[in-house]
Amino acid sequence: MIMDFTKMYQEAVKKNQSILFDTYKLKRGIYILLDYHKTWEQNLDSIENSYVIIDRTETYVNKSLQEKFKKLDYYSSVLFDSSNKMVDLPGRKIHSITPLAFFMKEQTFLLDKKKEDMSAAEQKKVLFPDELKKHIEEFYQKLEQFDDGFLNLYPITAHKKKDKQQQLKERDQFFTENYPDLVSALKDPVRLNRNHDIRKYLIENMDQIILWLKAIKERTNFSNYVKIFFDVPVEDYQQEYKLYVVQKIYTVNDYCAIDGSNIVGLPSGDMTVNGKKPYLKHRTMRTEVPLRLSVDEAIARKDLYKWLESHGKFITQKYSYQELLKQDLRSEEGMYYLSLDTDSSVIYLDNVPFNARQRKVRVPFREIQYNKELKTYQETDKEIYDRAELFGWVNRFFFKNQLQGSWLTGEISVNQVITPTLQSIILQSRQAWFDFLFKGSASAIRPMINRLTLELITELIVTSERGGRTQILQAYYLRLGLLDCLDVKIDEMKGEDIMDYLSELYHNTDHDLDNNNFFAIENDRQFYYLAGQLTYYLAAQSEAANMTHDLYRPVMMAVGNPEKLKEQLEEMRKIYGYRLRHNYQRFNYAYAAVMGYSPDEKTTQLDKELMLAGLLSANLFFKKKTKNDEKEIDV
Amino acid sequence: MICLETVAFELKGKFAFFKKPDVNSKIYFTYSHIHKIALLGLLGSILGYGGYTQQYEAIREAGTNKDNQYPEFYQCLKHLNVAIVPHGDCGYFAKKIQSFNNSVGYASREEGGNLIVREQWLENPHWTIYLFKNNEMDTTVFENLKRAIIHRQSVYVPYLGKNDHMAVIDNPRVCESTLIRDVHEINSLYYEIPGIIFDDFADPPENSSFYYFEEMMPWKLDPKLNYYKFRTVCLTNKFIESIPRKSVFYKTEGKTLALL
Repeated sequence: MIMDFTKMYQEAVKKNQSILFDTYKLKRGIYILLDYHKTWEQNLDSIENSYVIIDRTETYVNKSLQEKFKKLDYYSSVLFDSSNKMVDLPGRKIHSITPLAFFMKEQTFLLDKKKEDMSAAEQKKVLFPDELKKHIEEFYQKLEQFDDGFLNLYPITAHKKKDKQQQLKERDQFFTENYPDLVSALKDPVRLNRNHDIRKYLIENMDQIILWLKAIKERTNFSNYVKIFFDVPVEDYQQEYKLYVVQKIYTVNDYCAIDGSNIVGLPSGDMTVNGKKPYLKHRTMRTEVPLRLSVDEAIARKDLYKWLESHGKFITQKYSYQELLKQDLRSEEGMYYLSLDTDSSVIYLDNVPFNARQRKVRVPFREIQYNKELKTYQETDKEIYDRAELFGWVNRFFFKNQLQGSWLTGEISVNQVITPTLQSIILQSRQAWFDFLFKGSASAIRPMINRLTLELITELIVTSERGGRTQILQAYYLRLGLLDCLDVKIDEMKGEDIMDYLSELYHNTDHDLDNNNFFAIENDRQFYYLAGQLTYYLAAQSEAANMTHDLYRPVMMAVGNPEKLKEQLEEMRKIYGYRLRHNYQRFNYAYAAVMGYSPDEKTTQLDKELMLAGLLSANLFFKKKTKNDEKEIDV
Repeated sequence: MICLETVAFELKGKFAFFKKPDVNSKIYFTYSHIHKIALLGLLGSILGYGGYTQQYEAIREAGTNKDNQYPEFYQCLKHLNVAIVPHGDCGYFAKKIQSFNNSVGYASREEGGNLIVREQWLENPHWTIYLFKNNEMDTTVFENLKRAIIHRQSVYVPYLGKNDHMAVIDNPRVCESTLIRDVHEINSLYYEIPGIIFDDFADPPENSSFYYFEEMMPWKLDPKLNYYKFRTVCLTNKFIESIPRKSVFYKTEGKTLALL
């Protein structure tokens, strides 16, 4: 997919070059533009308009000059910010890579101590004025030697002298035909004279430049880099950059080959055939390395990574097909999803043929809100159509708002909120959630949604303390809504139907319990629902300070065996019997009915569901006082 | 009417991994679909053709020559025309990143001996594959391929990208394909067609929405160094308003297929 991106990026930059520089950031330091035709004194006359200081706050930025420096800096900087790609090797003191610019860290040559006051280690890191001039001289010699290095990219395989000569001839012909600008630059007298003049200018004026820089530093502190550019057309910078980049863009030039009119090679960045990782090389294939790109493609790839970096790392970014470089997400076509790691390597990518916005979603939902006036919780039916809103609900009620930042690709650690079980659930299901909530594809979540949400709710029940029931009930309604949305049925019943059925069960049972006549259970479903209700009521009698919902576990575990279930209920009744009033008729009727009922059929999935719903939903036995009953308060 | 004999079968599996060569530093990613060269490799395994290792050994023994220019499977099958019809969710298969260890240090030569591999796998991939008989290809090879597929015979075990993912080849059949001129939709993967115009005003198919997929995928091997050459492969359910005349499509089992 990086190839697809690279192709699109190349096309976009061809149409609009500003894409390249819109996201380009200058490093901290002072940027100076000098005219080498003028003397230092003449340059000094107009210097106030020829430099900018880039600091963290960008206070001293001259905007128009800054834009110019962005371009010049781009064409004069080391590839990938890698010291291995410098021209000044092995010294690594001069960071620029063309004769048209001079980059150096300010602490390397703007010295505030005398040589005698420095330790040997400190002296190694710096250049004293004489050393500096010598170093500049050597740097320009290296540049001259470096110039024709691109010829080495042409593989010379012959061993015999005659064959070798033939290949060298073919090489020269290849470069003359396909890279005429590089070949002509080698012997261009204008270029050579210009480079010579710039070198001379730097060496002759370095002492004064240092004095001026020190004066500026005292007035307006700058740090990190001193970057001096010479005022020549941008095209000259481009040409010098090309001479450099052709030789340094590939990871290892040994894998370069000729493909028609192009040099192709293994690109740098997110691609390695590192000696420490020999398995990355294709050891038993003729091709040896996974990929070969042309110089232009390799440069575009490098720029693309910078562009991707500018959108942030770790978080999964989405890019539409058609509007890749404008980030307009309205497109009704495919989408790319991508995230970068700290070192800008790709750690997640996907190519999806549709846009989540095109795919409608409808989740029937029952929202529970606290009514301050009535001092009670109220349930309202609603429907969720927006995936972002749905993500909010899922994150809040299933995952306790722990799906933050790089939750898709990052590490999920156990903490005060995330239990080991919840961690395991997140790791198992995060890709499926992402596919559903962000990409619009339900194929991964559908087969697991029933088991997954049940596990989540069970975990919430086990880990929540007294008072968390509303949250769990809300999560339960979300489960039913998701089952409905994904067309997953429980014993032929859709999630929304179960929600309605629960209301019906509650109201019918409530009505029957209110009639002081003999109460009888109508069917198996009501039995399980009522068993859930009784379980919660009994557990709620506990006076433990930090009562957890783990109290329900024995009853929940027995749901598949009605007799065992009744035994567990009886156990609970015995434990908390001292809190139960003998004349609380609603409870007495319901308890007697449950204990006296034997289900006709084997426990179904829906029965288990109703038991859970009974446990979590509004409790019939905490209903406020009717005429003859004692007052009970909802928890 | 131009008709072609066509062998069709369902190709599926629990997982698949067709490694993309464009990044290799932390996680290995997969193409969204099986690409032509991987498919030819799978067919080559059915017929017992040699692969990259055999080619490498041949070069080591005899030096580079015309016979070992390509791996044997590619040499024999490169002229085979295929069509790939993806199933899944609008042609999309869910992908998941799997991490596993290879602690056999001598194989990876990883420092410390424990290699941690992270791969993105396709989940439950399913394609219908069509193989077309044509004049460029050796008839005997096609007949052998047809016989092997129809009779469910294979010399080596076919797999989907790597031998962790066994391929299931189901419902093999022989059918006929007819060359068509009027094309209103394309049901298979196709190479990007410059000049194709889609009907922007058409309504999407019932209970569905339009989708469009494209990805650069390998389509042939470089003759000198055998690295992949790429082309953009597309898939869409959009209706076509007009398409350049030179494009070639076949109608097979009611589907409009593009040749890869």
